[in-house]
Amino acid sequence: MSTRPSPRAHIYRLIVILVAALAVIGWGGQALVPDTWDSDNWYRKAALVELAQRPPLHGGNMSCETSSCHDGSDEQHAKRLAELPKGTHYGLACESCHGPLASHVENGRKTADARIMRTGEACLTCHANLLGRDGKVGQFSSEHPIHKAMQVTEAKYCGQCHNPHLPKPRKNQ
Amino acid sequence: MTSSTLPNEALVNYIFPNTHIDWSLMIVIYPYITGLVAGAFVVSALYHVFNVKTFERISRFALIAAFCFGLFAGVPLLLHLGQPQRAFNIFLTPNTTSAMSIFGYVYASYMLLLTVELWLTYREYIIQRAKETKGIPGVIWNVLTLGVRTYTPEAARVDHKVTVFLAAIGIPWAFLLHGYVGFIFGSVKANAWWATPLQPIVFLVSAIVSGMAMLLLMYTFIRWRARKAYDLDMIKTMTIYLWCIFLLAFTLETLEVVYAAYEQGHHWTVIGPLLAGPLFDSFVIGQVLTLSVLPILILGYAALSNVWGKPLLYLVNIGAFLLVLQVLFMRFNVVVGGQMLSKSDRGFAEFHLEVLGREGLIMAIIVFAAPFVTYYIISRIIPIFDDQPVRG
Repeated sequence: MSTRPSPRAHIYRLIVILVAALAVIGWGGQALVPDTWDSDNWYRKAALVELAQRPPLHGGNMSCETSSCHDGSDEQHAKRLAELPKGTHYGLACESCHGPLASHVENGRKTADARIMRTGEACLTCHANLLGRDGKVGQFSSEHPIHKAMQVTEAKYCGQCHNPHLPKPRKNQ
Repeated sequence: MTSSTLPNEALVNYIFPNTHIDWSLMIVIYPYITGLVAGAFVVSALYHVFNVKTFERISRFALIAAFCFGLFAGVPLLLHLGQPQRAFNIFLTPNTTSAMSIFGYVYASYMLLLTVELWLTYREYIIQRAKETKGIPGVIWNVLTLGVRTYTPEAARVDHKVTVFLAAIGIPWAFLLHGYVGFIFGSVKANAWWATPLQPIVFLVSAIVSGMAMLLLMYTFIRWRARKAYDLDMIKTMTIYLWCIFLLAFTLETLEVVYAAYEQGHHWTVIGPLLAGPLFDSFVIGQVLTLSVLPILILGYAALSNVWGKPLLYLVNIGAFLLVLQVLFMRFNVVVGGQMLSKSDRGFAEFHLEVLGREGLIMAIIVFAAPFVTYYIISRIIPIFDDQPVRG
């Protein structure tokens, strides 16, 4: 280095550093963009394959209805399955209240009991009184005459009086 | 609800369940701190670009202050959004169609500009320290010289030219930086309290006000602590600038409301009850009557009369303190007030002040105190005022 550098030496060096930094950022940014990124639709195409490979958690109602585990030998189960289509809960998935099939059965063998809730928590996910619900689903009210007489609050378990599998017969039967 | 009147002759305060005030204190202090950056920079640029000689003695101080505020301008956003591990991805994978990410690029390039300008300003001092310091600090000083360890008059001239050039770019850049914040709000067409093309200009002018007022307060405090003489000429000039710019800011802020009120259109059916109801205290009493009218009178007297010495200092500092609060209130009223309007135009959501937590009052105070702590640390390392050497 000479004793008297150009009066602009430090400016040139700064520009070199900035350009190098920009190049590193640009290059590093490219490295962060996934190979299968679809910039038109803003998603990573490889994600679809990955999602398809994940083990399924839910089996759907058919898994419960047609399983060999509950083929009539389990009376309770058969009774519930017979009740369900007659009532207003006919469209619900078993797993909505009883937990995902994956935590109950694995490789065709039972691994744990299905969840049975003795609280109103599962019921309130649909029946809690919330602003903005359109009222197609009945909303719990402690002001309902019978509720009022029996001092029922949200803390009580609905199943003490209501059958969750057959809450009300369907009108269009 | 302080008022019984609701917008659009609503009988009950009807708000949809998706009406929440998600942008709370952090989004109030974010444009506030960003504004202080822009405001402080303008003061230093007034000297560099427009040759306002009286500001020469505080141009370095203004730059350092802008830099300190700038360092923390993004922190409220980070606290609001979380995800620090992804915070820098907006620079690495740019999206040019989002106004919010554009802010990231403007802000980052602006901070770069500020840093380079500071570096040029202090190059002589950096070289001097690099020659006389040993150990790790010496290595840091030496790295900062970029290996150029002589400071010649020719180089000084080059530095001056580049500094003026950067300051000249810096002014529109600061305007862009803060105009954007107003744009984010002004472009929400569904919100009667936000949607106005004036919004960027309102934000920008009030930003300059807050920056100048904050500089005056900081300057007086620093000189008082150091028991040094006050530069009354500078204070007087700054007061005149501050008063004029604040008049402009107040005019613009008021214009929008006056237009809406006079037109008596759909916007007023929402804004009227908002200002008479939930925002009455913070807007009408706070922002307008207490924090705008009073400083206009106080600073007007300080700017136009022959008052000098201690009385001038008191007047200017009271006025500046009120203005610093005024802009903070204005940010709150815009950010939170606009979210109070229900999406049904039939009521108001309530704002609950959080104290603890990531976006609470305590966190806001910590974030807001950080630039001042940083300034103190920097002032221990490099000389900011000519008569206050670091190791004096």
